[in-house]
Amino acid sequence: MIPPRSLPLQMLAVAATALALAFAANSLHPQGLESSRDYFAKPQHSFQTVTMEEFTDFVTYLEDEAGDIVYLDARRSGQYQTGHVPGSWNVPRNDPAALEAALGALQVAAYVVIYCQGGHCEDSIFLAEDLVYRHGIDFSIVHIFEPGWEAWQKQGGAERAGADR
Amino acid sequence: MSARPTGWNLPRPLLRVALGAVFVGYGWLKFHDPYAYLKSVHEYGVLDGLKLGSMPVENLAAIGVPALEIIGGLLLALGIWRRGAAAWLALFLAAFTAMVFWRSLDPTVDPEHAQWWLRAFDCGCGTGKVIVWQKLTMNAVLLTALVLLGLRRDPELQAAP
Repeated sequence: MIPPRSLPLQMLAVAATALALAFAANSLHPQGLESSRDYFAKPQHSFQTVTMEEFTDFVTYLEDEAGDIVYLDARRSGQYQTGHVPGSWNVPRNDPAALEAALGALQVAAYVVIYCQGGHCEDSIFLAEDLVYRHGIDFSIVHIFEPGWEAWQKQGGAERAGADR
Repeated sequence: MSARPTGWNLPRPLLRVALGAVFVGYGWLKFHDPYAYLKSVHEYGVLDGLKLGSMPVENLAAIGVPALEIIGGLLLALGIWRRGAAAWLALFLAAFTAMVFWRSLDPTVDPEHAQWWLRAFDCGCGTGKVIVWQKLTMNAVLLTALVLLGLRRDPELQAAP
């Protein structure tokens, strides 16, 4: 048996081993976290926002005419699969492949509306910044639906499950 | 020489390997997408704003818990520092079970179901959306298994020199 045998010492040994390996693995992980970064500090933004009413109109327009509006769902793919705005693209944070897939539609869009979960979520802002500052999407067409998915769901907005795109 | 396992005790090492594998699996699901897991931790709100030095405790949890599950599961399966590994896994499982229960009492997590035990939401366990009663039952089974197979002193091993 590998020492130590007492429970507190074993717990200490396990915790030390796990933490050392945790930080080593995190530093090697391609999507590893920055340990001292506050990921949930609400960023200020100057993007245009859309209200619940406008969002409802846009969704109806999207459903009826499938026109120039591109909806981006910035939530995790599991949340998207469970339910999302019909016709929306799922572009989670740290998923360059998903963003690449949507870029073609974004480059010819007249309006881009981005939403995330709602409440304190900020993924829609990070995605908007990514689009404008890294991918050259026109700032004036990018809109954020701040109430987010939770508010949309609560007011009985249209939704679809599964992989839409 | 240690006494050989007999009777119903025979599959204990095998059950321990299976139990360890479950935790390695849970840990791996969380580890492969650290930011998604960090968001899940954040959604519970219990560590919101807490810091350890300059590091948000949520980050520490998102980095540390998956590794603890993987390492703990491996150690449990291999029988190395078995009780220490089982103790950590049981502690975290109990804490997360309490948090899942607490969150299930909030009707906004699943407005379609009035009864808390029927509500379904992403618990951040790495397995997507779960129904509360199923998750709590699963966790109760795992906790019991951790106590019986991991934390309890092993009579066969006690006989070892």
